[in-house]
Amino acid sequence: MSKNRVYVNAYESLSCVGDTKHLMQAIYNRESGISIDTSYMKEHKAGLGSFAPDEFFASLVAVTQNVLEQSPLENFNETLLIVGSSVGGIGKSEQHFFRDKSYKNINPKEHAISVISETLDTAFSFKDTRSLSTACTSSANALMLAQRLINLGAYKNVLVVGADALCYTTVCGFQALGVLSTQQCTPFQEGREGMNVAEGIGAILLQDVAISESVELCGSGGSSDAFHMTNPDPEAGGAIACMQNALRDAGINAEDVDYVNAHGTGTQANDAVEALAVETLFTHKPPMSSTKAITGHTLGAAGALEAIIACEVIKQQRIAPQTALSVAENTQVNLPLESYESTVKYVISNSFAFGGNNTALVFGALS
Amino acid sequence: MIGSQDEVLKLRLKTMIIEECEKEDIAPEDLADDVELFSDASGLELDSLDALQISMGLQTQFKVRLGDSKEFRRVVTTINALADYIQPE
Amino acid sequence: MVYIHSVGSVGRREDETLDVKASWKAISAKMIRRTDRFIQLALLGAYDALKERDVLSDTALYMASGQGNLAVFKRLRDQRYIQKQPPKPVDFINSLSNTAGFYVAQYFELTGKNLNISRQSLSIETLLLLAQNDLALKRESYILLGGVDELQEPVAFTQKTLGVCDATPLGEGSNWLLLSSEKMGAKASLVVSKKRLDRDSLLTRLEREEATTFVSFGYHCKAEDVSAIKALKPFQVFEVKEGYHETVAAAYCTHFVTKQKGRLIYIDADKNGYTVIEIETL
Repeated sequence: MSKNRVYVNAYESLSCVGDTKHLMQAIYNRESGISIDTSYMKEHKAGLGSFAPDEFFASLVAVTQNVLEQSPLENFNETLLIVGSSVGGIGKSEQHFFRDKSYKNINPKEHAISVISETLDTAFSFKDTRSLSTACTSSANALMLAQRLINLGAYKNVLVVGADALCYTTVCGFQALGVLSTQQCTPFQEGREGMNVAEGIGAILLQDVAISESVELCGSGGSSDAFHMTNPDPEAGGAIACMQNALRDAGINAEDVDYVNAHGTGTQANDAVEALAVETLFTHKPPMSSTKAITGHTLGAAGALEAIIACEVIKQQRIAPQTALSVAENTQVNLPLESYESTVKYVISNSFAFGGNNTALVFGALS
Repeated sequence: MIGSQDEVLKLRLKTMIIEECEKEDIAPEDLADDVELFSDASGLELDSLDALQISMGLQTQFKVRLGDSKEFRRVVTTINALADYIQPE
Repeated sequence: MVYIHSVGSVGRREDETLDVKASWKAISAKMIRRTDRFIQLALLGAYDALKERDVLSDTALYMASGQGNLAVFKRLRDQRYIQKQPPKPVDFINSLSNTAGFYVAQYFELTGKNLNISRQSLSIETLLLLAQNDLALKRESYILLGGVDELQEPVAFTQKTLGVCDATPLGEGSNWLLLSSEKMGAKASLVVSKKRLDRDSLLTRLEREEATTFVSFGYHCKAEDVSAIKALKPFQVFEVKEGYHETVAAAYCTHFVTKQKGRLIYIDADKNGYTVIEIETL
């Protein structure tokens, strides 16, 4: 079956460093947006990425409006919306709970992941909507799903929105797992402390026709470790398998990859296994970096936010450096400390989640 | 009384560990005082998530707050050592 | 068209009881630790679907839930605001949407893609459409697809939050289908409509059916739709005893394959129109 090709034709994002333009400036200039916070946990300091005072749901609509304005479309009436989110409306439920000290006003309909798609559907009236929630791979999986639907010709336009707000459930939950850093996170650094929870929104319009600014979503691949709920397979079998699946789907070889945008959360477990996977699969040592040192880990939004970064690296032909690194734990991977111009044809972007849920996406420059 | 001499404290610790790690098929009295909890010899088959659950149990039931995983590994070795840490005299 | 190679179902109506923990413990005492009732419910249904057959390790896992694991959210809030304690690590982990999917993958040693999808109403139709696409594109050879929803007590509260009337009996269930594009050895075929139908096209579509076809009506079908369809032909109505929950469509699929022979048209709707799931036993 011949498949339709999939093009990224418009996007916008919001993270603790601002919109996409400011995001790329911060990445290239190595300026982290993480701040040290004690408002979630009085007894613990935590490095968090917040875009407060902007209100999350209003920002969601504004970011989406911006994508519509950039796009060749007049409206989203013939566009499928796929939302990837880990937190959904939990923040809203928490607000009700804090105010009332009871469950009585918590509405499971506001609590669900689908509250994000409903907010956007009310504002823009999409052709149809769906939501994916697989923790930190949510919006990477949403992009994979969008690619499949366009490949098949089921939709011509799909808007993928990855969105997660900061909330007590995630901040305190990751603290309970002992993986939060009290400082700005230091991905791939020896003796790193942990991750920064952050909020983020990334909205990406995928279409079956190319325009002059297009980047192609060439391939995607998923895998399951089925190993341990919180620990990745130490031999990196799942991480390698999802990248191999994505390369095969894109019809390219490992040595064709010019830059790896790592999942790189800054936790001991993730970064060790991911570096091993990249070291094993990419013997030509392409530059790799984790932009979570700038944005923090935006959980379910990370896949979409980092897909936007991958597209920008291709458009600007400039490698994103690894911020906050002085001594790398794994010296067999290429972690550039400064940004530099380079020919970038293909970028692979990794997302890994608890439950051993792995997704890799391959983006390519238009030839 | 030093913790390792305090049978009541040790029973409380064992019960907490069994509950937090959901190892109800092991009776508290079957857990030896001097065996390394995170070794094969303990028969508990504990992993890193169990360590976090135990750390939370120590915090909520014994008011013992362990800073990080290094401190945890130093303190949570055997029941005797843990009891002595909680109750040094 | 996709083929159903195996089905599994566990569920109950609100007036029945179901000891999920005891049932799962009898199957796998080893995997009871850290799993809560929602996860055990997912495992039980998937086990029922796969207990009599081998499953390939690259089988993909697609799971849907209407409400997800709401009980663990309540537990996390209780810990923080009533007991004034930090969240327990295991509870936080269990609050993630893909945790039940992880345990299913781990139990059956599935290393393929593992997805969790939600769409307010029509989650199962959406998931079936995705599976139909992925099998057609040969992205996957086998897909284990399940719908899991747990009944939250008190029932009156759940009725309110689901927006159903008092007369609708609620339920819970874990219903799973092993799907493939391969016909050999299959129990039934399945087609899910790619686009929403308007009322006229739905009626035209049903007019083509023989009177021996079974029909089932999802919760969002209006009474006048039901009477219009019944007026077309003396269709037999196929019902499941499992009460309403947001992934009950999967129960219609699994129960029909287990209990009936013939052809089923399951109809449901949302604001964009009607969807049809068509099942024919082989």
